[in-house]
Amino acid sequence: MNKTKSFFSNNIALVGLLIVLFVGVCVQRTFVSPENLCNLLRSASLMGFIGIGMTFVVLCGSIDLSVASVFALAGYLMLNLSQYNLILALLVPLLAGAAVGFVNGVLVEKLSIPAFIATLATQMFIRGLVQMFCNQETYKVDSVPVPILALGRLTFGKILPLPLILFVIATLIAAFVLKRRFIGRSMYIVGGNLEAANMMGVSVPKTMITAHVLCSVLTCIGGMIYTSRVGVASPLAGTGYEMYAIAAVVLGGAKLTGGVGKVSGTFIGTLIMSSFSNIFSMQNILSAVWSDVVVGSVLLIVIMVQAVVTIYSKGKKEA
Amino acid sequence: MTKKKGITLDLAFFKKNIALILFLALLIFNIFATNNFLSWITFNNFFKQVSRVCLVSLGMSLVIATGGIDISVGSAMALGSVLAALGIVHESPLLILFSVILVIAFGCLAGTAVSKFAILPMVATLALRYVMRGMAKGISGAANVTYTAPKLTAFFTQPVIGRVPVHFFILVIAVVVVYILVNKMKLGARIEAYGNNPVAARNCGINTVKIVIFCYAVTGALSWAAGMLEAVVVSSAHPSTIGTDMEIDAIAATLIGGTPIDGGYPNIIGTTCGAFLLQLISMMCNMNNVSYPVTLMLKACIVLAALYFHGIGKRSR
Repeated sequence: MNKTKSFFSNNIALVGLLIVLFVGVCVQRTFVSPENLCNLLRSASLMGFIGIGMTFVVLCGSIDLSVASVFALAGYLMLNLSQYNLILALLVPLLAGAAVGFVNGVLVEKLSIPAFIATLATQMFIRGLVQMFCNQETYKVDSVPVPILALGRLTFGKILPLPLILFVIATLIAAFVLKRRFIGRSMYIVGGNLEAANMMGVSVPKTMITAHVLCSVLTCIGGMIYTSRVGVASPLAGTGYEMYAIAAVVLGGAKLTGGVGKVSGTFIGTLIMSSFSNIFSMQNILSAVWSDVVVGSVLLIVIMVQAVVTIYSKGKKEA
Repeated sequence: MTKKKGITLDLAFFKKNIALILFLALLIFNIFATNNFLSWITFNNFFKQVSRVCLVSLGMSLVIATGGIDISVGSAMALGSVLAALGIVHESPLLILFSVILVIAFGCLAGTAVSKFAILPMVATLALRYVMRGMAKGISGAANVTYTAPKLTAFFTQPVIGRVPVHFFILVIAVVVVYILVNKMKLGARIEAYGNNPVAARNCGINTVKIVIFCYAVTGALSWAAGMLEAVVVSSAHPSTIGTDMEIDAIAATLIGGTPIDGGYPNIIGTTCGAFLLQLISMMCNMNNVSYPVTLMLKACIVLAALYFHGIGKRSR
């Protein structure tokens, strides 16, 4: 009994997902059809890459708002370079992402600028850069090579999209790194107790910079898949995605103060967030303009429940 | 020894007034380098544009001084102005009053969530950001709310005394009121005490819950005012464009101004100068035909430079 109780208090997100799925089925029977689930998972995987990356950063007690523009930058670079060389088109965006992550990490850790505002500044800078590259209009190329298009559009056996496979692989690797690797464990320590991390000889700058680099690189993968799916690179792509990703991470049970969180939680949080838009587009009880209200209210309810559970369990311990 | 002391003193002065110094430097640069910079039109435009950001930043300074952050200000602007615009359309003052109360109530909700339920400010306001923006979209059907009120528009577009726009006076009154509140009243001291050390403040008998709720409510009210200023320029309120990215500018202005992000003394003059600085950068770029992307990049660099100076003391410790 106690075990199930602790399981649920640790996995409130899972309960939330089940409720959302239940609502989905009630609203529309075709919600659970393979085609719709395939659609849902494909759109979830786009946002999911950013969410996983954000999990690393949030675990360290930092935050990354630059993902919104890095997303657009990766798409532009891939589309532009696909005209010259396929390997470069796939590699350069990732390297650019790594560079941005490195800069973010240095700004936050070495120059001790608050993460929120430092990554906001890089977000502005890169948005400006992308808009300059694109001349402030949507960037198109005459013919996109087939392998590039396949990245976002290939579907195995009609229900298994390639982005989803990549997303699941990324989730598993991320979970493995966080659970079993030194760098992953040190992220928990750095976020949980900075002083203890210093005393234990964990290199805080190294951990922080690694987390930021991982975040930006994963975002780049998301941006590349998105661009390959859409076929053009928009300078405004990804606007608002940073908040969406943070919401997914928070729904997954991570604490923005750092040290608490799981990749599996973020995975579920992402599924919840994308189920919303999916369900909303399938029903006609409530007009679609209200969708933001529902997203915000659910977020508010979940964090309230989490807060009450925390206060309750804390009070019990003290008593 | 004395020399060393002198250097640290200078650095402290520099750090405290970095926003003012950068603003003055840029102002002098513009007076000499930009054509037609010294004119009433520039003055008018500057205050018409800066007043919104500055109003929101004042509230944001209070919130950040308590160690919080409010990323729902842009959405609050949208909700307030859409409701108020509907109120003008239907000629019901009650609806306009309701718009103010609703936005302040959401501020109180954020404050309660932060202080009572110990929810992280960023998370609580993230949820409210979605809720308020969504409500603005839902109420208006995601369409532009246009109204005609010639008197109101005239009041805000025509200068009041001489050539000075009404925005200037609104701004000065707001800055002075908040400045007195922070520096001359007990409440300001309590906000600072709470920001510096929440536990100590609570132990001293300060009603910390009240203080936090007050700060978020004031931010809500100021956001409403900023939303109205934005809506009145074009006689309409669009639920998805009003106040977008306002939180970015407001937080940047506050932090450049020297209010520490983990709580402490709200530097109101610094915040005002920070907002002026950001606006002056945009204006300078506009008047010199610098493209929007370059403006963004330049802004980012100046924000980082200003914050780098604030970080100097922290690193040497």
